[in-house]
Amino acid sequence: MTLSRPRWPLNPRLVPAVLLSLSFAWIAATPAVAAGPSAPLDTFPTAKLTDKAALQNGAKLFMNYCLGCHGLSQVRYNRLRDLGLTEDQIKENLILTDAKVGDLIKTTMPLKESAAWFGKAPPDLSLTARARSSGAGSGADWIYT
Amino acid sequence: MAAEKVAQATGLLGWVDRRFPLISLYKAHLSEYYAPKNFNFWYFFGSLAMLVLVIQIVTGILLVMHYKPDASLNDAGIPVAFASVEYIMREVPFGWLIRYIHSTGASAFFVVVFLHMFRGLIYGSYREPRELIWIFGCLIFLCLMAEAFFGYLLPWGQMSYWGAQVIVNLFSAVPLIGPDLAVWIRGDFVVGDATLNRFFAFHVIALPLVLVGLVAAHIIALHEVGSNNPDGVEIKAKKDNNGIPLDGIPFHPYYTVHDILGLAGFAFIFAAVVFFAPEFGGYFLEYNNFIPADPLVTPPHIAPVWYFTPYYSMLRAVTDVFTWVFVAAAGLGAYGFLRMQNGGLLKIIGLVAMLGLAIVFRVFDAKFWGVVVMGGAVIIMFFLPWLDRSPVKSIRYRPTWQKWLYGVFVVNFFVLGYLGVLPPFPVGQVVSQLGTIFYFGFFALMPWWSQWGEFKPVPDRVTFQPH
Repeated sequence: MTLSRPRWPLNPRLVPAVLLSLSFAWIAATPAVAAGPSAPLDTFPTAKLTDKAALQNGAKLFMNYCLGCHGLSQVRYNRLRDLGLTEDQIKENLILTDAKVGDLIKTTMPLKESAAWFGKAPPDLSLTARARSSGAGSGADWIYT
Repeated sequence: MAAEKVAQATGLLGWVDRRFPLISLYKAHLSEYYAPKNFNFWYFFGSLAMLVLVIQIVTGILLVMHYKPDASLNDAGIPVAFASVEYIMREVPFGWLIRYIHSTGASAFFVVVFLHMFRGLIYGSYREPRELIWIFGCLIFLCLMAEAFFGYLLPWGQMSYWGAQVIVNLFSAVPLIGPDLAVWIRGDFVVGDATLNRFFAFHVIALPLVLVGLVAAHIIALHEVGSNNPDGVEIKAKKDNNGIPLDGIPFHPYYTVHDILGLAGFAFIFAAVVFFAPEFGGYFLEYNNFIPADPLVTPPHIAPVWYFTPYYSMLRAVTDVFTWVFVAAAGLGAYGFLRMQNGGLLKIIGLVAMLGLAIVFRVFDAKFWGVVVMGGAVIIMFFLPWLDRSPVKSIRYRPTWQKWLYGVFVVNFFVLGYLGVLPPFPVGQVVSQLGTIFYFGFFALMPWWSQWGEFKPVPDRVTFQPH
């Protein structure tokens, strides 16, 4: 069955072309409508990732301050060898409990009581960098700021 | 051909062949199964889909060796299931690789299957006599969606938990039995340990068994009638003196070797993703899922994984106002039945049904109709062989405007998918409503539009340039 060419807007050839261009217009408009206001944001200085001294200092700060409430229970103490430390150094300086160097890094904050004291038990920090990532960058920015 | 074997095989092969139809199976499905010689790029995706199924099963078996489906908290306060996944990632040798292959494979499965279905759509591979292959394929697609949904709960992250909560709650929108149905599915009043364990059983054994069975049925049905090709020409129509199709070539060695090329291209891209971008910008592994599931903390934005987003935006498009569109469609249907010439009883039943529908569309919640639309978007594909009334199979011989229409369909599907990822907003609401209407209109009106326009003459033999 054939059709002789009817004019616009009934010409079937034009209809999909119009729809196509409209849909491209919609695609282009959507991000502009969806985006919010922007401001310059601090980012983690990635040069520090290879600065062993800075990393070891960070481990010291974590064990002395953060580990009081927050666990890091997916990581083992001997993983800190990646920071250029020997197991003896880890044992002497970074393990503040009676844990062995192959043990998981657990906090001593009691879970149930801390939920009662703070409303919620302090969350484990093993995956914070991954969880706080986004299309814009790694979660290191969130932790750093 | 008489039932005797032409030449008895000797040795071990002969011993097996006298007890199991090994050689005849090999001939029927490989060395003497004739496929059209003009297969193009689109014909890689069937074998790639089978490859990804095997990859998922093998990596899945390895993951289950270390995964624990337990939602209770360990002594560090982390759910055991979540901790077992992190254990696989950090401590099991190459566990991270197996996990990334499995998660990338899930998304790759959908990429490959969508492209495979699109091939069927453009070349009319669902047309007679291949309707059953298409139906098995649609069933495979449904099972795949369910398998992915069940599997996504297992890491027990925030997105896993809340995505499952949202989707199971949809079942509570079913009239009368809804709330009880949702409790039955979950095994509890909220998604919890009971849900995790049963989803684990479905994901690991129940659905893979069904999938493998359906894939076998899909291929058996295919081998019974032979494959379609980009020209939509039936190669079995022209055979030589030995009964071999003139345009056919034996699947082995030609397409077994040809598919290795497809495998290489796929493996290249797959490896690039697995090793360099397994999260794929948060689309394959969502960032929020690295937070353990917390029933007391709702994420600010719950969205399904990317392969469900087109259907999700159709679900969200159905608002209370939008149900009036359904009423209008039922009204059109009633008008259509009214104009039937010699309907008799069918005309009366049709009219009553349409009027009943028009009322029911306003009586039940828009939430329920959203679920119906989301499911209907997949179910309507089952009917494609009977909706397409075009005189030609392949898009190559259809009028040019119909080629554009298929293009718009693809763009529309992508737009719906993109809108499904974003939180709802007013312009997106209208766009997804229009997109839903277009999607269903494309299929529902196909019996009419597939016959409009000037069709090009289909050749007798396939168009093929030797290369």
